[in-house]
Amino acid sequence: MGLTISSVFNRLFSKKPMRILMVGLDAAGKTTILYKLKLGEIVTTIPTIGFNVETVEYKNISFTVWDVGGQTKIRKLWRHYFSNTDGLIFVVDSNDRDRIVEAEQELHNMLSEEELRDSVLLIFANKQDLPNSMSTAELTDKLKLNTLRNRKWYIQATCATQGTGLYEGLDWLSNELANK
Amino acid sequence: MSSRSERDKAKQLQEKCQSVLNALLRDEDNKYCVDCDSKGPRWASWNIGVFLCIRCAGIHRNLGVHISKVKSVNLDSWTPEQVVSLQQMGNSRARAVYEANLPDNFRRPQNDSSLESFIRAKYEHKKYIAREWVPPQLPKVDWEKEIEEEMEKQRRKKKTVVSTSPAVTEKKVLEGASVEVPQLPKPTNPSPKSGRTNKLERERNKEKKDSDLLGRY
Repeated sequence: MGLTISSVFNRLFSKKPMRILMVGLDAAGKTTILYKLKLGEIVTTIPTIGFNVETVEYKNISFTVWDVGGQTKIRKLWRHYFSNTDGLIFVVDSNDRDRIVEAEQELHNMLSEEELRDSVLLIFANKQDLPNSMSTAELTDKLKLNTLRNRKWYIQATCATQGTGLYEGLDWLSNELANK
Repeated sequence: MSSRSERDKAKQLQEKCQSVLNALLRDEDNKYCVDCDSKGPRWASWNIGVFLCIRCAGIHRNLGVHISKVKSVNLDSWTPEQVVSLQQMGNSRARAVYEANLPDNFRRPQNDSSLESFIRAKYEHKKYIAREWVPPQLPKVDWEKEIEEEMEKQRRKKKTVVSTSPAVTEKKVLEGASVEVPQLPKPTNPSPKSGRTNKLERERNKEKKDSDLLGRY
């Protein structure tokens, strides 16, 4: 009886947890995004060696967001964060045309991992405010998103420093979680 | 060529890049962050050609890759072109270029927001730049060819001699790394405003007699 009451209580009032892994090449803006979501402000960041983790409550969902460093030689550590990931956020610097192929390769590499089979994929096309940034259409093409099979994905234009697009992305994630 | 030797070549190339970078960091020129003066930089903006502390690296990343391309000396992989770009410039020369018109009484800011303003003024708005400065073309380097030749030499040696000392290979790779640095156009008044750098320049010239770019004494 006590158990039933508490489970009903939980269903009504507690927030649904969602584990999010946020990765991407170095300097894409992952840490800036994390703290913009958490604190609502722009913090001065330094390159992430290791990871940051914060919980962000939004629309009755408690997002636990893992932000993992993107420097070349520490990208192999990403896989240690894969298990039980509900949603992947892959952050791209839309202004960095020289490294978009590298980003595409890292993305597809990661998606071939068995542990991530059931996670949905949100791409943040970040730094849209910079002069030469690629549109989401161009990035969809360059990241070869249309070749993805059996994967729910969505690409969202963002500018973390102005806060634009971030919550639209979380809206998509929360809808996907509700449909699961 | 088999994939094994391709891998070997890639690995040797990375090692060579690392050893040149480490040598550059041992150089007096690069022992302090080019922007805030803090000791022992481990980051770099390879297109500008300067070594940075992690905090200034964070600020440089805010500028966008159209202005500054930041890498970690240890945590990233490098291409020879990127390394040579750092070799051509380096912190002392970069100060002469980007701080040519810094006011005499200028004090380097230390808190985050004023440091960011300074860095933006310096590289984004080029407020203090030497007017006659013409940025050099990105260098063309062919370390791969050198490494291939070296590997070929080693293979031939192995056929005639039973054992090769690994120390010899190491030395050869390092020697190959001392590429000719083309002379860059220098500003007419190349002395950086910071007093220490002037002193360093003198010390460095003294040391130059028995050292080279790799810092071998």
